[in-house]
Amino acid sequence: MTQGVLDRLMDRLRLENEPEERIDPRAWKVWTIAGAMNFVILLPLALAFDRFIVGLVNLPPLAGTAALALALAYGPWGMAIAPWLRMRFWRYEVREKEMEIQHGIFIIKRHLIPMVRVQHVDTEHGPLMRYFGLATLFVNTAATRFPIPALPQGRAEELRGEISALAGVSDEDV
Amino acid sequence: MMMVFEASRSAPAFIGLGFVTSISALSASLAQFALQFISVFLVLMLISSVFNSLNWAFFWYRHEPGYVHIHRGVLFKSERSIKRERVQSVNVYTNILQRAIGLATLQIKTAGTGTEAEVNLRALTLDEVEEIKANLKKEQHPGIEAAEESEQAVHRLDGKDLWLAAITSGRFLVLFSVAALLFSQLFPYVPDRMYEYALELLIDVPVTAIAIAVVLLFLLSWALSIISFVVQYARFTIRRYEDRLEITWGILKQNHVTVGLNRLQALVVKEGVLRQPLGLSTLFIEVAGGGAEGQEQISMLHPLVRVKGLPDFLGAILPEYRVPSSPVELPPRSLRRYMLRAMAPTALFAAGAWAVLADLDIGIGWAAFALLLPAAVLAVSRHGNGKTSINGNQLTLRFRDLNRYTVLINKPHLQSLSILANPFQRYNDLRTVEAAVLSSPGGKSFRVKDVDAEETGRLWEWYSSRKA
Repeated sequence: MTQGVLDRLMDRLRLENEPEERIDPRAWKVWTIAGAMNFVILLPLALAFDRFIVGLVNLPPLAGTAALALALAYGPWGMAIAPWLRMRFWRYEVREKEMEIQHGIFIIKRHLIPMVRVQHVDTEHGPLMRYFGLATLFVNTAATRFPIPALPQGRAEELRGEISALAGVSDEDV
Repeated sequence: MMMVFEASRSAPAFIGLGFVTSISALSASLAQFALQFISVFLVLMLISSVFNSLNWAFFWYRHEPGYVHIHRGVLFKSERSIKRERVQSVNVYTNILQRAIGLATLQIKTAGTGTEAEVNLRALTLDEVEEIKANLKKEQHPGIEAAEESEQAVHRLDGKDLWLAAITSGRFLVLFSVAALLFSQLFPYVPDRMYEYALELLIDVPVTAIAIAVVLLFLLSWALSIISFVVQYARFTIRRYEDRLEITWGILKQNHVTVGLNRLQALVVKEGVLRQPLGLSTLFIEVAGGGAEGQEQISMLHPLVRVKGLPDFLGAILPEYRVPSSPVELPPRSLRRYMLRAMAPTALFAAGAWAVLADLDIGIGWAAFALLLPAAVLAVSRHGNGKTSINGNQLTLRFRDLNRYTVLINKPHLQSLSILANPFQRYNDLRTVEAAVLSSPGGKSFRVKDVDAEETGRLWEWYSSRKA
């Protein structure tokens, strides 16, 4: 019974007609590691704030506790919850005449980009992404720029070629 | 000739100088202050006029059919050739000084953003301007040329409407804030004694007199703003040609702007708070390409159009856009979200104000919650004004922040369409829709919040090439 209610709730919280393709599951690892790195930097900062700065600037002690609590809360959020949600909602679909990209953690955003509006496509990979053999693809229109993160490098190259070939075939004005 | 003109650009500085000198005659201690002021001013002016003259001396241009070449730079030389095919628009501006000696500024805009994208040739003779314009004009087939030149429609802003536009322009607020800014900048330089003197004067004067003075100042700035608006936009005329709009306006500074229709990306109808009750609106256009300078002037298509007359105006001048016939309203269930969005920050602010005032032993802090009423009114109005519609190839979004905006975009100019939804919106089947268009510099996007998911689905399908 409860299972049914939860399922229905999850169903309602999904955006209809999701694009087909998911990004590489290794993205999960990348985001988790990135979150862990942030956490490792954030925690000592919050500790230092609580121990030294609060006393120094005469802030109420509650401010230090709040900073610590926030930093501690960031741990599970940045390492587990956010990567999970992001992984769950990241979708894309490349069709002959247009492409769809969906992403988000709390607010889901979905973009529709006609191929004739695509100005150029470029790929980027940071050290962490590169270690896992992943790359981020950026789709640029004259007014907007949308990323598709964590594609296997081969797939990113392939998509870049594919999209460039499909893009800009029309001679309509800008 | 040009040398004279370059030097004359420092004329406002001379006027300022005269002003400061005359004030300094008022008091001896003030004179000392003014003396410092003037000396700093003189040095600055000297530097700037040397700089201007050098710039002028090292600026060369040459033109031939199809090209304009420019050489400039004192230390860092740059040369540039502008080809006819790359020119987006050629505009001519003249101010009163230039006109007195028969000169004009020619502005050549090319695609791209920033200052790189435009070249200003200052102080050209009018013959020269015509020659360059002729050289840069697209080659035409001799037969069509005559037909090409005849305008298809003309629209003028007539006397009464011009004054109405000036009265409702809301510029007096700007003037007021400029005065305040000037005061705050000059404040540290005002000698203490003078300040004390002024304060003593004020203490003796009853409060009502101060209030009257403020009101008078307010009216004065309003009157000034009206006059400046009328002078700026007098003789406003839009001419529609086959492939372009030509807009001219101004008495003292005459402007002539050409906008190619292929550069037009979107039309924005803005109904300001002051203007909406009178059924008036201002038209703006989003334009691709061109530089950063003078954007304001390019982006305003018309300073005052009656909302009732809008369909006729568009029909004559811009038949590419139509006023939507049957817009889709927001569903009633999204009113709650609009309320929350407007009232939650207000309530927080009121609570904060209350806490602070209570701390200062001021008992009427709770009155801050009265702000919730206008917030609620605004929310209801925003909800009522949120509309979307599709008419053939045209997407229309209407929304309000404080002013009401209606954005008209044709499908080929829509760079991308997005829908956004947070969990609460998803639970209630509501979406935020966002349309991105090209606009210089960079892009611009317009949003309508909390639209029915069914409607955004329709918008999505309309934009998508994949038909269900």
